Parts: sequence; C-alpha cells; structure tokens
Amino acid sequence: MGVRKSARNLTSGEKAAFVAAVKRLKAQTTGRNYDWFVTTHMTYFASVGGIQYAHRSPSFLPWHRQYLIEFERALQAFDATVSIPYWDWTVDRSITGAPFTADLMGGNGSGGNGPVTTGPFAGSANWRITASASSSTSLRRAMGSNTLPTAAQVTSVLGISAYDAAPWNSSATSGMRNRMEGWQTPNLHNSAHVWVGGHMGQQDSPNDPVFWLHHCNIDRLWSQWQTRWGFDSSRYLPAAGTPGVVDLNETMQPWTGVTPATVLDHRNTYTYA
Amino acid sequence: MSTVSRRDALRYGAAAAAVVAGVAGAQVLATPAAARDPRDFEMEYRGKKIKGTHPVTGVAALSARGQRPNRSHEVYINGRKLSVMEIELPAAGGGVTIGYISAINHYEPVLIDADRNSNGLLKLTKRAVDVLGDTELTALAGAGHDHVR
Repeated sequence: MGVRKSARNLTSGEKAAFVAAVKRLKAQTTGRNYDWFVTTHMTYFASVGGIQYAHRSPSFLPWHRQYLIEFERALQAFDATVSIPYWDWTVDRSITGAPFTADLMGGNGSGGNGPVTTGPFAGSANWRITASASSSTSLRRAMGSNTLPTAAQVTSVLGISAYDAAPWNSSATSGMRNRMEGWQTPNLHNSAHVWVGGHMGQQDSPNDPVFWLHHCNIDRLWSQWQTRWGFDSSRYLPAAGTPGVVDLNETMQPWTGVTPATVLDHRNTYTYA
Repeated sequence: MSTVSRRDALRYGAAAAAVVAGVAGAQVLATPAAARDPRDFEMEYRGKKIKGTHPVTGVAALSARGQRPNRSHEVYINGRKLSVMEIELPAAGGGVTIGYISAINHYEPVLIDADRNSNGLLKLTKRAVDVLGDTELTALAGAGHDHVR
C-alpha cells in the first residue's frame, strides 16, 4: 500500500524516482500513456453523454480520486515504490520553493509566462507538449497572478458537513464540494490552477506534472473531510435518481465498475503522511 | 441589479441596446448586416488580431431572418477559434449568474453581460492572448465543448 507524502518531505531519491516514472509514462507510445491522461481530462471536463463526470458536479472528487489511482498505477508499473506526492499550497507558497525546485517540478516560466527553464521538465527536448490548446511544445508557467488559498480557507471548507447540494453543479452554494472545486468562494482547486498559470490554467492542465501534486492535495483534503465527517457511503450526495450527474452507485466513465461508492474509502489503497 | 437578473440582461441585452439606440435600432431591423452586437470587437492586442462576437438575440436575431443566428460567444485570435464555455456560478446576491471560460483560461470564469460586464468577452480574449504570448491557438482550442444548458 502506498503512502503519499508532501513534496517538501521527499528524499532526493524519491523525487528522482517519481520524475523518472513520469518520464517513462510520457515516453510510452501505446495504451494509457501520459498523453492519454491529458486528453481524457480534456474530454471529461465537458459533459459526456449528458453527464458531468469530472468537473462542475458532485463526482469531481471521486472522479479525480480514481484518475489519480489510475495514474499512480501506471507509474508503479515502472517503479513499484513510487507514490504521487502532494503540494500543500497552504504551506509551500513560493514560486521557488517546494515543489518548484530543480530536482522535482522546476520553476516559473521565462519572462513570467514563457517556457519553464529549470528542472526535469524544462524544454521540449525533455518534456514535449503534444496535446494542447496552445502551440507551445515546451511546458509553460506564469506563476503568482493570484493568491493561493490559505489554511484558514481550507479549514472553513472542511467544516461544511454537507458533501454537496442541489443543483449539483457549479452554481451550488450550500455544500463542501463546490467550494473545494472553486466555482464558489473561497475557491480552493481552481485558484491553484490559476496561480501556476501557463499550461496549468488551460483545459490541457495535466500537461504540467504539478497537476498531479495539486490534485493529490485536493484528494488529501477530501480525505481529511472524510476523516472528520465519515468515509461511509451516506456522506456522498446525491444518493440516487439525479439526472445529469453521477449518483452514489452510478458508473464513472471512462472506468468500468468504478462508482463514487467504490472509491470513498481509499485507506486500503493508499494513505496520506 | 434591479429586478432584471444578469441572465435576463445577457439574453435581452442586444435587444435592449437596439431599442435604446433609436434610429440605429431601426437600421438593425432593416438590414441583416447590422445584426451586430455593440460589444463585438475586432482589433489588435499585443501583436495578435482578436475578434469577438456575442450571441444574436431578441430584435437583432429577428432581423437576421434566413440566417442561422449566432447562439454562442465566438472568439478568434489570429484567425484561430477559441472555444468559449458557459459556467453557471453562484450570483453575488443569491441565484445564478453565467460566467465564461475558454480553453486557455479554464479555471477563471469571466462575467459577460450588457451592463457592468459589457467588456467581459474582450477581457476573456485579452487574458488568452496574455497566456499565449508568442504562441498561437491550436485546433484543440476551438474544439466545441458540450454545453450544459
């Protein structure tokens, strides 16, 4: 069972192993390779077959939980010791600190919105962008255009006992999920995408490997919410019969046999340190 | 805002603008070519040609009889399409307002209406140009999203 650690606490060996596995998945030419994960996210941001799976809906959290599990398994096929690290942006708030160091994610874009120039993903020879809304073949960042969410804001979101609420979309006001996703203030998830900028702000955001560290942190915060309010299936909403969204026991495409109910309790698959 | 919601303002904004414009409004009724929203733009920004059109609604849509009305916001940067997607958001005073994201600014909605946010589409477009810098949009940027409404 994997233990997901904060990026700031990884050893140099753990950082190197994570980077190497990500690059091997990128180099894979068939099957569910890195670019499959990028295009899958692009597809599922919008509704598929009239259902909102990945964003602007209750299944935002369980869909991404499964997405991270699939990505982590893909990395572990290359190196069984690898787990996805998380970026706790309430603590690591600098464009030069963890995880944006030369031995992990690399730093800001050149000139504030250009290609990343440091670290293992700098330049198209090291990390070539192929599926994107912009023509840059090099990873780009434009960091710090807004303010990262604070620990106090996280605490306020985790204090909301209702998982989600009608109308179960980006205009829901009274549940935890839309605040976590960020269409409702205080906006946790969306803010960090915007703060990194460049590819992280685009529909093809998984092109920036820090996507996984950010979503790992979002998943960790959901796990903290579950620790406080319950991992049991009664804590997920809606339970059944809701058009256009994924109810508790409905399948989350593109995976087979995976529902919100099957991923709620992750503690036998991975834990957070 | 008064009793008119942002959504209504968005939907009827073009019609209201045509009525307020008086004589200009009559021209809107007379010629399809004038079925153009006053918020539409075509200009150069940071070395890129940008063009944006708003949905044709109300009186203006009627004047464009025989043509397929433009039902969504359209943006082009250097002639390449940037897909714009509607996002329902909690409104400041309760209820729902509509924000817009693009393939380039995917996590930061911009409000567009005929009132205080009448420059919303231009703002969205300029933000995309700021991100693009010396790069261009690809075909993926113009690929249509499903619309939830």
